[in-house]
Amino acid sequence: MNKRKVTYAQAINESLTQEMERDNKVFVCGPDVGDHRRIYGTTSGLVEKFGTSRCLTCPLSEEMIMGFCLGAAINGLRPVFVNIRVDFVLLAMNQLINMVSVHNYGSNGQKNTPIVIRAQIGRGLGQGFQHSKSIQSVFAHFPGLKVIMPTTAYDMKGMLTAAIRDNNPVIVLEHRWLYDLKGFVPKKPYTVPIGKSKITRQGNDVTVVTTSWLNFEAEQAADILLKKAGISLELIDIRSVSPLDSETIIRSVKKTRNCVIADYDWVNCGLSSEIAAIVSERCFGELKKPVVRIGFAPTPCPTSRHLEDKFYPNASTIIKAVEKILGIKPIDLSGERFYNYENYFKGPF
Amino acid sequence: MNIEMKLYEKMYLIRKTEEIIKEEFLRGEIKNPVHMSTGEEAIVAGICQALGNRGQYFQSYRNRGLYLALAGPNDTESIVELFAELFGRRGKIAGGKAGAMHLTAPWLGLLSTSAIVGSTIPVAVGAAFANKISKNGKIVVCFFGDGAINEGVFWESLNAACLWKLPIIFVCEDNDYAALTKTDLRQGYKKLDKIVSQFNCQCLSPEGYTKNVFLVYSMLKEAVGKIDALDQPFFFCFKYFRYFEHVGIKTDLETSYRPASDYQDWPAADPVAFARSRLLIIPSLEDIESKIEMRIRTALKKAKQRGKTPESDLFKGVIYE
Repeated sequence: MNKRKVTYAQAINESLTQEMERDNKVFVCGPDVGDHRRIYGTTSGLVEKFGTSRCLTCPLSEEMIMGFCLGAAINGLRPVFVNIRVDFVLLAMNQLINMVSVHNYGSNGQKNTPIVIRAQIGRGLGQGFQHSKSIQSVFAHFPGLKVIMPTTAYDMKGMLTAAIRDNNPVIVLEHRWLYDLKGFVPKKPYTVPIGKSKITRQGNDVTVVTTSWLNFEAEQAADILLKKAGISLELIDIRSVSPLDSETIIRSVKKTRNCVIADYDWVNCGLSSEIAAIVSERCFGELKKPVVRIGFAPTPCPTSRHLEDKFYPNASTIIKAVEKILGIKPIDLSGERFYNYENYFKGPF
Repeated sequence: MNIEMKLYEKMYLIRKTEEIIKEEFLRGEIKNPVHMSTGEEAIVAGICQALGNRGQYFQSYRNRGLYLALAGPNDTESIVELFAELFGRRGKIAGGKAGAMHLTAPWLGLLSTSAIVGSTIPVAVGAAFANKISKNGKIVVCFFGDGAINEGVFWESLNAACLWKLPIIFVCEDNDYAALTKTDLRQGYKKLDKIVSQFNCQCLSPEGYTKNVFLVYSMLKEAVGKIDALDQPFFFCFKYFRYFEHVGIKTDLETSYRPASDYQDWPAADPVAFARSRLLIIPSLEDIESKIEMRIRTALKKAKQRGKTPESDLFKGVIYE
């Protein structure tokens, strides 16, 4: 079997290139898409192959660009708007929420809105409170938007391709630590459906529901718990925040009867709150213990490394949550090396 | 039929339909905000007539004048659709979900309207980009009020359209008021046209209230003729007298917001009266007018015969399936 491995960034680039080859209505736009860095390589080769009007460098006018994408979509094009920080999408929220998300509804489907909004999220070099948000729940709050957070290179290529072919606005949240991660990716175009989560590890004791980077933290937590305490976690990668695949979560929680939600975002009014509510509504009598939620510290994100390390949850946060939910003694974590800025998971997966 | 009469018919249709809308609003048939178009007839009628089927249009919540100028008095079906949307009855605009502020009628070339000031301006720029890419010869006309000039996205959009040399005509309909706030409380610069003319576009800003539809028509005809060769956007600023309050069916005088002296300007600013005075020599003028009124009444009746939008439609169309 072909086990061709490429990085997450290459998977994005391959999806964009193949979709632009397949359909000349597809184009990429945003600030910096055509500069020499090409958005971490994700837009490499597009100017050379398709020209500057299909890899369109835009002025720093995020609200304009979002509205521009809507207008282009109304007239038959399929824009992919690239934002190098999700924080910058906040500049375009009027267009995204007041115009893009309602346009299909408000025109009775006369005008659909095939728009992809790519945005980088998460931790980098001391990126701080204006350059490292995730805010998936903010987007998912609004009817009319789809929100995805692919974790693996395979899912990224397939889900981005599905997003480009979707006739609705789709927000794609890409954690920057994932960019260099290699994984199995078929060369040929394929889609991974939006709206389905994925069980990435089978287990019996506790269901751990995760998003984006926290999947790797959960993997490490699961390894340690199995090795040191014989506890098996069932891991679910949400992948699609909206629509949310509740059924996969419910089935798993009914099996393990314990649930930890580790969402790469703040807890308050977040995706973890939504999932906790769904689990409570659907699994109330079957839960052994209340659901535990894990997320960022309830503060803006600081820039100093030692404070940042406190701000972000990691595998040890997940291990502690599992200990609490199962009522077991703390596991000796001495000798374990956890992911941090200097040492994060680099694959392969 | 000559062009003058066509222009007048569009304006008369708008004026009379707005009168009926006022009646229906008072009757309680319309349960969403109406921003009246009375006073701006010459701008929308002149522009739509000049663009013909080359035009694609974007507008604010004050959009019925444009809708009716595009439909014209002979398209009774489109007038039925307009009433049906306002009344929350079955129809193809949005089945009563959009109401007066968000009319979309692609079959007329009306692609998007919005209740957030300035918010269709970047959308119009995107539509113009798509037209340029596909070389379909379409020209986007983007209408907005003078309040939109205070929004950052107006300047972002003007910049992008000029940068990318898009086939778009920006039309500022300047009625001196942003909702209820007069220009002098909002404007920190001297003259808008001086600033806009520094962008790579053609900027035209005629003095005085826009009462002469024939002049608007000929100005736009000229712009349409030049836009391809110039490879630049156009920017027009047309002043007009907003006869009714910002939103609703009263005049500013009735709400004692504006001084009575302002209304002394109205007779000289009224574009329908101006055009009519030029066309009085046409013997059939009154017949034509009553025919238009009859068409509006017929459309109104037809719209009222339609059923209310079914409640199940609430859930339809959130996501395009």
